[in-house]
Amino acid sequence: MESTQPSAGTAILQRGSRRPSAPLRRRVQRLGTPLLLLAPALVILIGLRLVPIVDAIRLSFTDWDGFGAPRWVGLDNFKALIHDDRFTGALLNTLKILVALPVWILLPYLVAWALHNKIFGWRLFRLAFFIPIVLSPAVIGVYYGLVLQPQGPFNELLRSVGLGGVARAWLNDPTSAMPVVIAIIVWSTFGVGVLIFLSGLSNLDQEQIDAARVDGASAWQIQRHVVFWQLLPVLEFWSIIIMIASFTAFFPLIYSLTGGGPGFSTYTVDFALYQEAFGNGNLGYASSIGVALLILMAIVGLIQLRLLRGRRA
Amino acid sequence: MSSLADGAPRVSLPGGRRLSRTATAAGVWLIMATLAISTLYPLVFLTMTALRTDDDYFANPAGVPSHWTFDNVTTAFFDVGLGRYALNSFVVVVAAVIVLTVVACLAAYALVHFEFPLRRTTLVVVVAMMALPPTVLMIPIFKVVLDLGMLNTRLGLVLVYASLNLPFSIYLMTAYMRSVPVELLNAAKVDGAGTLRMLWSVVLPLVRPGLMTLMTLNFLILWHELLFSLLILPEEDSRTIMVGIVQLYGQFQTGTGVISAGLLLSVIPPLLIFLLFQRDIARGMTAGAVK
Repeated sequence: MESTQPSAGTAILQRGSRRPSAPLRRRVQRLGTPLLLLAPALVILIGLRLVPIVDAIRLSFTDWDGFGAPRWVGLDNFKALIHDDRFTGALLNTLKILVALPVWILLPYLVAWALHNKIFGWRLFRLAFFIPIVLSPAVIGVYYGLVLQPQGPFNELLRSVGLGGVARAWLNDPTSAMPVVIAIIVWSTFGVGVLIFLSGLSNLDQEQIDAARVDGASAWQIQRHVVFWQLLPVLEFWSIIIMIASFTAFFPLIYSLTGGGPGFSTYTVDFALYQEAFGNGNLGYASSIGVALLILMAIVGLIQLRLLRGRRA
Repeated sequence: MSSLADGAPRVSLPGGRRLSRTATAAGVWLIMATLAISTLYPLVFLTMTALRTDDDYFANPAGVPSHWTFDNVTTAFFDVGLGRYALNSFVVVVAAVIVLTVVACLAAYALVHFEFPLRRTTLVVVVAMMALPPTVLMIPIFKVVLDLGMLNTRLGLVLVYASLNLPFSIYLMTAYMRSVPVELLNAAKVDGAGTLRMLWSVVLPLVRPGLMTLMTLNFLILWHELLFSLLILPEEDSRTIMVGIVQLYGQFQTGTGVISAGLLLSVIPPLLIFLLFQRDIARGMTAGAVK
């Protein structure tokens, strides 16, 4: 993240004196132009980002139906939250995606590595893998809804290769619904991961790799001791992206694919937040789900940074 | 190329290794091929299902249509209103992309090429906002729009869309604008160019690839957006295409062919953008990784 700031002295105009004795009028003038340029962005970001953050926390201590004025209820929402089976179930469902993490990280890496090494047919593969990027999560949801119908093409395919016993109503079966949803999320995002790893691979320091090869390192050793360390920042970036995605990317898919069902077996935290607020009209209570989600993301984010930085040190 | 045939123990070791390497390569290729089929299939499936009758589809869902028809496409476009929803999406998304481009360029220009108090802090706050997904803020954002009296207005959704992608847009543009040499700007200043004049005639031509990336990526992301268009434009007249499709799918009487045609329709604009601007999109998605 440190690289997001310009290195000292790059491209700064109006670098004039910073002496405190500079006349006030000139300092105001110097601030005036950039402030005017920034004004539209500041209005939008303060109004629709910073104020909402504060408001999200304030509303979580209220009872609000979306029409009248929010009524202060103190910690009641959070007390109710702990005993809400639907919420704890949603939390568990959201955390189930952790099981898929190794695949979610390794699959794009493997694919990127193969593409980078110009595997047979790599141009066609590259084009094909980016198609999910063009499909919106809502479209993907509806598409898989059709394909996974009991009489749909996926079950047909299974039956035609003699796996008819596996065929089922994938999305109406509480045991299979959540794994299917997770698989679809990994499927729909791996193309982005491939892109990110590809750009990392194309920036590899080839000299180090050649040197290792001359020293007699095996392909696996080169991967493990040279490529891995060079790609660590990219890996870090990708894992942060999927961390954020795993908490908030479920909504459009759940909304279009399962509606949280069967029962509440695909209820995730972001879907619960929407459903409680705009389905059941409990906007105050739903705000406390939002705050819980924020806290959870902060905790997981911190653990993640710890792990990654720890490995690097 | 297998050297197993000659059977000499001395050669069998590298031969075996080569064989296992071939096996690994074949395994990797199989995984890739399976994945590629799974990502290409949506386009094949939707095209075929859109162009056949429902009876024909249910007779053989995984097969090729026995005869082709355009009925579903016309039904989807005209009768169930997806044509109008697509137009609604187009209006809102293009407006939001324009707002985003202008606002992000002005802000990035100020953040990169001017010195003022709290400049670094502003940059850090903007970047930090990228880590906070707006989904978490759906209730307060909805409340802001409600309080402004902009619920059910396109302007409300345009503003929300602008706010969704503004942190990333500013970040992307600062990355590009940093590469503009100060000397050029100073020269333009000596020639008497004003602040906006310098942005327009010196900076923007130099960051044109960045502008393309910014606009195509924002178009894709916003065209796909479901949650906030659901919250802010729930009424039928102004509904966006994603909301239209999901609600159509939820209705029992809608045929599979019509839904497929609708999905196909909604995929065409982003697919065109993708095919035309593939490089720009890839560049934008990886901007954070290499910087």
